[in-house]
Amino acid sequence: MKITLHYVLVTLIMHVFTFSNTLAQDSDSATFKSVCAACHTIGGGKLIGPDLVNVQDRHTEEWIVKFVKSSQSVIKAGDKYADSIYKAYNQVLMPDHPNLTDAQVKGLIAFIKTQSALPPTTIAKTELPQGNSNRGRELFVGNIRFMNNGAACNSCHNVNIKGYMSGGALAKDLTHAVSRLSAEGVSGVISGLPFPQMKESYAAHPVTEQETADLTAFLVKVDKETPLTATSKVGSYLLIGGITGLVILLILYSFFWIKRKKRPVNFPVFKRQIKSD
Amino acid sequence: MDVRSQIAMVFHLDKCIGCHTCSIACKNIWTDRKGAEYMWWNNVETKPGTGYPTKWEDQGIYKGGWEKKWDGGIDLKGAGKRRGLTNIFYNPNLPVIDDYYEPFTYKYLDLIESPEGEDQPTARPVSLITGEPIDIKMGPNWDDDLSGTPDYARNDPNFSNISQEEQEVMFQLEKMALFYLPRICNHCLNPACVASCPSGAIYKRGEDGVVLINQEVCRAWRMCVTACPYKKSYYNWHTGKSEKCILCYPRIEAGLAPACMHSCVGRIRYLGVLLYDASRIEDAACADDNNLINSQLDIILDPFDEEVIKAARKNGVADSTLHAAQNSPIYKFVKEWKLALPLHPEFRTLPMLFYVPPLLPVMATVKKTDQSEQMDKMHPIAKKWEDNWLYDTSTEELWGTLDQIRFPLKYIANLFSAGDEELIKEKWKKLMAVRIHRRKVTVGDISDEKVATTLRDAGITAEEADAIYALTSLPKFEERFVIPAAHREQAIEMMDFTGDTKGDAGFGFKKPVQRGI
Repeated sequence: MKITLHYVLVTLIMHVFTFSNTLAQDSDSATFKSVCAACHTIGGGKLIGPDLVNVQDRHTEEWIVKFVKSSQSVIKAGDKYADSIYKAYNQVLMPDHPNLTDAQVKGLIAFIKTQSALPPTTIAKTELPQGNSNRGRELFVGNIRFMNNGAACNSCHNVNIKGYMSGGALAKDLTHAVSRLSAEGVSGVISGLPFPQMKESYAAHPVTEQETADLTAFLVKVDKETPLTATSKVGSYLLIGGITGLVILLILYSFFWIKRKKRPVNFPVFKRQIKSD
Repeated sequence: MDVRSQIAMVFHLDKCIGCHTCSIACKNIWTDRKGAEYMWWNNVETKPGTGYPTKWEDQGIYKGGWEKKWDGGIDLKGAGKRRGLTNIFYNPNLPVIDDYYEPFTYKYLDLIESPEGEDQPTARPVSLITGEPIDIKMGPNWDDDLSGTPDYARNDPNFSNISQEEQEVMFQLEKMALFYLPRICNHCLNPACVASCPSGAIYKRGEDGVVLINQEVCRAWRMCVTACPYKKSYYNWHTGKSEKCILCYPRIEAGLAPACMHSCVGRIRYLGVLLYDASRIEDAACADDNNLINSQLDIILDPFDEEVIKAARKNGVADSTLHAAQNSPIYKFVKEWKLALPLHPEFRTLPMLFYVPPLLPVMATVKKTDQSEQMDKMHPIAKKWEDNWLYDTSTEELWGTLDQIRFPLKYIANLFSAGDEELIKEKWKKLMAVRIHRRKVTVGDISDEKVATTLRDAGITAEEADAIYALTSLPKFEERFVIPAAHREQAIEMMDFTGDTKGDAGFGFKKPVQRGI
């Protein structure tokens, strides 16, 4: 009986311990999923940002906390390593996370540490359903409404495809988003909303998994079909051509009307006249 | 022979007193509107002076009128098909508002409505275009009586071939050597404005030769503004159409003289019909420089000639018009007595407004006299004039003054005869002979012999001299303005069948009457 009691007590204590442990683990995992997973994996290879496997070995905890809270300030402060990551990953800035507390970041590091020990498959990537690029296009343009009433993508974004009037210029042009971020990255951004403005717009109107898949499929298609350098090249040719043409025309006109009457006949008289203020 | 009738005019410059009544009459009737404030269809210029718009006579600036081509023909100087196309977006030789003047008024209400203050209220000048207060730069006749200022009189384009010494002589006496030049549209026989209009909005009326701009057709090309060498076509910035003198055709059609002529205080203006041969217009316009005036006067036909009358009738010229042509004061001044000349015939538009060149102040002299004797007789508090100059129009030798005239002959010749001094001399001799003859008649202090020599020199008879005197000094209203019946109904019937519109006009309602409640 004594033994039983003891056993029960021990088990109870252990349970309480493990329970609280699991609780902590669970909240870290959720944070990781909502904040980090859009761009990072643990042992699953790089997405938009680097694979975070064993990140605790590569940097001091202090450095990671600083970087997570504001990667920009670390880069700007002249940290060479931070800068090299920034450059290595297509110069996509990691969004700042000023809302995460130090404890939360440390929890995340602990979570990554435990996860790194496990085989990479343990964090199952959310498998997206098969996307339909046509439906994705309609969603992007706004011909079909998002299930949860989110704003159509083209209110802020543009893609450069044939037969489509340009979209908004408020946010990044998404023509080559897939080249920059990879398909997983794009779908991660759509579902995870790592960017503050995206979060603001879509937190209350989440994009469904099917819609995410459709949009991703559409953007993959756009990326493939549109030549990589088309936009920028045409733009610069147009500008240079326009300026050259203008200069030629102005020179031509100035010869053409070189004898025109440029001033009133009495100009010298008017110039001499005393003027009131 | 293609005989047509033309309402023509003569302005007798010796009679012009420069009062601008004509300008005001015209302004009040026609151009006292928004967009037309700066226009003076009739203006009076002081010569020597730069005129309105400034230096309008200088076609190097404004490119008006016709110029002779290498093949003997003529071409518009500043307009035409090629120039029109190359300048389709920008008409480069237009006068700007500062070449005319920025029209202004004064804020008179400020004088009586200003609140009480330290200073007297003033009426500030405000632009009639912008409504903002402006500094007045110029007026429509800024050189009025300012002849001799370096900026105006000395910049007169007619001095181009007058030597510096000759100019200096003129300007020594600058305060008195000036005359007035009233100008309206010349209603030319070869109008450059009509030729230049890309829209075909300008036309010369068949029955009386009045040149008009159709306001419905005008498309604001403003080629007429460039083309008219007299700058008598104006662009209305409010309506976006060009406008010009219409010779008060509504008045003429009603048998009244145009407003400027009717109101003329000096009675300098004459208006009447001339018959001309339209088939010879081109030849006259293409004539050589030294033959321009003769060839222009040549195409004006004798209204008493049976052949002319027959051809005119065949062309549909009404008998009343022929009768008016026979009584025309213009025919007398221009053809019979050969006293009047067109202004700047070298522009080759064949103007139908003729000027009798001014004899005064040209023929007068200024002498230094001693007036002390007179001064002594005056009351001590009387104002004493200290200048000792005598403005003397009496002559010792009959033609002596013609060689000592204060205006170089060339100056007048530049204005009225394309530089032909002999022609001007001829007119002046006639004008002088009339005066000498009339002095003999009225005062009798000149010998018969001297008068006879004078008349013979001038090439006129005593009867002619009397007739010239009568039409110059004593004409009644009906003698100055011989206006034929307009026959508008016939002109309209040529274009439209009047039966179609019978009952449309006249007494009645503008809108259909609505019956019932």
